[in-house]
Amino acid sequence: MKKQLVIMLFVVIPLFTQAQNALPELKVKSLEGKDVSIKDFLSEDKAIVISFWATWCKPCVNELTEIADVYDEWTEELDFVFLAISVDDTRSTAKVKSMVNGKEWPYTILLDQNQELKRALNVSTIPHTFIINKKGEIVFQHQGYTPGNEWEVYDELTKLK
Amino acid sequence: MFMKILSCILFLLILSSSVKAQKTGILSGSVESNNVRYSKDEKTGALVPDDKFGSNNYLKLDYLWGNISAGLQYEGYFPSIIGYSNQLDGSKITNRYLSYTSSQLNVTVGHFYEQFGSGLIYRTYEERSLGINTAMDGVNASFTPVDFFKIKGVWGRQRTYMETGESNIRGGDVNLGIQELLHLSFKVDLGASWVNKHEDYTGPEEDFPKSVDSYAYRVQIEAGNFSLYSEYVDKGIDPSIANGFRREKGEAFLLNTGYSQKGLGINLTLRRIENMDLRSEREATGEVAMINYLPALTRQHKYALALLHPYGASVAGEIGGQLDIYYSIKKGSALGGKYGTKLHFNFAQFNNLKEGQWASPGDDVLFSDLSFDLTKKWTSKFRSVISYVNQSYNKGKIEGGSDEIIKSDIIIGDLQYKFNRKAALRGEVQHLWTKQDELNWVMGLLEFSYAPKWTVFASDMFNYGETDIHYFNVGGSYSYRSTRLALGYARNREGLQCVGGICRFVPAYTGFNLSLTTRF
Repeated sequence: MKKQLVIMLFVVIPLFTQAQNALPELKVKSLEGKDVSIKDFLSEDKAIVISFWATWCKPCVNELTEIADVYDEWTEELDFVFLAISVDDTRSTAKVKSMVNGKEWPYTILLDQNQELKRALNVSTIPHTFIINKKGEIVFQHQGYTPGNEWEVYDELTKLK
Repeated sequence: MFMKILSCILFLLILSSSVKAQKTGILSGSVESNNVRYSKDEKTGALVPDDKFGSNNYLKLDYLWGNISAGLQYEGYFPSIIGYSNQLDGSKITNRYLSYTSSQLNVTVGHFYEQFGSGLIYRTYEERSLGINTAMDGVNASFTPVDFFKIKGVWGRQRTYMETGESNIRGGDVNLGIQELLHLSFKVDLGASWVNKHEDYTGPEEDFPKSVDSYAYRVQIEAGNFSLYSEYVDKGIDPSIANGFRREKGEAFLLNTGYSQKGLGINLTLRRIENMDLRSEREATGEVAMINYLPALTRQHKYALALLHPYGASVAGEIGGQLDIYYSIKKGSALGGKYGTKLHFNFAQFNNLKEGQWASPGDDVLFSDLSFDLTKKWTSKFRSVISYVNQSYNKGKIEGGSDEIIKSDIIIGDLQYKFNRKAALRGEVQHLWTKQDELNWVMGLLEFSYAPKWTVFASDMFNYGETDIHYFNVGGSYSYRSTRLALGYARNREGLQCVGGICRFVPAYTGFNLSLTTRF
């Protein structure tokens, strides 16, 4: 009986809580090896898109490849910064820079090697995409990637314009 | 005593900062629930436990209040799913912490995750899909007085399944930025770490090493297109079950080098490890009480048949490396087409060690993997990935029990067609040829998705060489914002499941699965 109650609790809790909208203070690394905070990217005139990914995650790479193809068109009409935060650990962190350059991705790449930021933002599975408005609030998020999700991101960014 | 003093300091910090902190805090969290209902399957001889259900659940809550955060993780296994340790059982609050973060100082009391260097000497982490959580319960502090110097410390005891281990671990790490110090035009960082563990010993041997000290030294260079990372670990004498009570020191050497420019990325990694299993419990085996992190440095494949024979690092001794080349053929060129073409080449090989010759590989190839991928977008609606993989898996040396070497060739085609901005169809065809083990395999998958919410898929992996067993998998998922619900029915093959090069053995099982993940 206790078992069922606990499982029920797991299913019910999310229904009664509201999305959090603050960013934690935590530092991640830039590709140049510097400590940076995602708060450093907040500005008065730009929204932030954050996408958690890894080199070995197929849907993540598909999502970032699709967005890279339309990135120039998007930046012409919208003001945003795109942070692609890799959660690759030691097994593959070294590949991140080569892969990003080799694929000609236009994003700002950050490294969250021991998944501290991922954990602080309560991300359980990747890809997980957030949109942060100019005030630093999370206004949109999506877990997983299905082809076409990128247009949802586009629509949300258009609303923030 | 030390712990008490630290708790006091932390409490004072909380008081002093609360004055300028926000008026109200923010609660956030996540829920993950994975459930299986097993069914009888005579074809694979899958085990059906008495209790036909398996259920792994995680609830995480964090409260952020200015510079202060506090949180907990509750885990419930009712009982744990097949393949996870049966010591993951019942439910409790497994992790809890209180922490203070500012730009210079970071202190956590309670459970924490931390990494020194590349983790060769110390890394505590969580990997739910393998049932790994090596968090330490104690104190973690890091201090950055000037931007080119950082010092970190950890002390406490390690989580072992649902309990806390009995040995004490402490460690320190310093990082020094030479670029800032000498005003260089490129980045050079030097670092050093120390880790000590002390575990009581009540056995008969008089000079048994109860206290084990290990040291690591590293350098990182980022100069324009070039990057280099190297680390060396000197591990103390640490006889344990995992290393067969070996009375010798351990050693690890890692070298990563890379060159990249727009459209081209090259990466070469070399690593030699010997007697590097480092755990907080002398008696521990399996996925528990690891202090350091030793992933296999081979390609992490994304397709099922290329994952049929996965490699986990041979921590007792291995030497080898891997090379990656990423290349983009320009848009508009003859081969590049309108959207460009992406190429990826990878080669990885690890051998046993050669007695007396530090830098030479031994005569046995433990694992080798060569792969080549071509990704091309043909039109705005259609894209394809073609992949070739050649693997050699030394089953005898890796799993023991035979001297079989499985040599396989795999060809993979992955095609995707987008009907419009929402609907897409994806298909995979894979074939594996081998003259060893269970001989040939074929695999097919079809997936239809309707963005942003719906996906349905069906796949079948068929061994037509020997067993004639179909490993089917059908399912679907629904995602809305931060919530995802997935439902499926699958026949799972007995084998190693690996994430990040750390593997666990999963017996065959068949059944319905339901999983829910959400964050709030």
